Amino acid sequence: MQAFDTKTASCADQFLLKAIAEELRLPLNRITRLAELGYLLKDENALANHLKAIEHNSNLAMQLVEGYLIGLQLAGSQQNLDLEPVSVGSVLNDAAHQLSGIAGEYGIDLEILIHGRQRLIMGNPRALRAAFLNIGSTLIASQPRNSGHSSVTLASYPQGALMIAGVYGNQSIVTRREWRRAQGLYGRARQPMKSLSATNGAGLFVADTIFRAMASELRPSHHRKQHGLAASLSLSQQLQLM
Amino acid sequence: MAQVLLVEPDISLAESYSKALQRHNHRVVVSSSAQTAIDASDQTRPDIVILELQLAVHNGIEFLYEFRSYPEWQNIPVVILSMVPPSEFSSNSVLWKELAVADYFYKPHTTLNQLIGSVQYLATAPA
Repeated sequence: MQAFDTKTASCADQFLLKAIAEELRLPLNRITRLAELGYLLKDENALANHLKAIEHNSNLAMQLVEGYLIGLQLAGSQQNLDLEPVSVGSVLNDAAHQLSGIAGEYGIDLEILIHGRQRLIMGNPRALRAAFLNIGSTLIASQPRNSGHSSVTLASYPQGALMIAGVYGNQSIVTRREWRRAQGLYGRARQPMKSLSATNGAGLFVADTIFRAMASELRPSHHRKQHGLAASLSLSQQLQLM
Repeated sequence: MAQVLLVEPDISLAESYSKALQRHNHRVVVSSSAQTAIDASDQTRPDIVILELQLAVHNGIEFLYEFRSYPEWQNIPVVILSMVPPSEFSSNSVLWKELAVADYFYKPHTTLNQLIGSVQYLATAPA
């Protein structure tokens, strides 16, 4: 891992660090309370469920940290990502696998939709997976409850010379206008997006930082009656010629 | 035993707090937003409200202003259990003066036993 010089971190980086620290409190708080509840209830049948939930939340926290590290490295040192031809479908499958535990805990169906001819894009698989995990975990925590069926979909489809890849849910969490406003408020306001409550949306901004390092950006989008955030990713021209 | 309205947007934390309170024989109704919390207050007549300030659309302070505007809910104890540290509010804040907050807990520093202790105290304390 390359060294990250905090002395040269800009004000924007400090906002990012603050937002990330706040965001990480949620899974860590869940873990602490679940562990405490395990002691309190002393119910062996419930203990297995608590341990599973602790495992899911620990895993989520580690995945978020992974994304934040990439985001901080990119924001702090102007470092470029090493790009290579990547299958978006494969990355989405990987991210969905990582998110399945926490989605189950929230009672949300997790789906993957890979449409059309899947061509390779130029990207960094580790950073892409971290970006989709960050968007996915934010959308899972933000879906409506007590209103019947809720699902979150990880989707990719070709559009012209690009591949669109994003994460979508039943609940619209941000419009284009709100997203622009949130980008200005990010790090300065406790709740940059009013539609989010348990989370401050730091994961979405980290994902945006990652996509920007791949000459793209995260944008509010909709797909098959679901709302979410997606990025347009450039195809690998080199492999298209082969 | 008290009827508790827990206003908590995170499903996992809500479940942990609910189970811990239920173990001490309190009845718990969970709401994830300010609007559903007002509806739940109307339907369940809570003895105690536990409230997160960071809620989607309308925040916890907005909920409290509306909640306190109804005469029948003005004396119901409200406990803040929030990710927002209490140091962000001064001792003269409207939270204590106008909105009559009974207790304030900062989530990362608050154990389940501390929350249960506060609810037990408020449930038995004279109004």
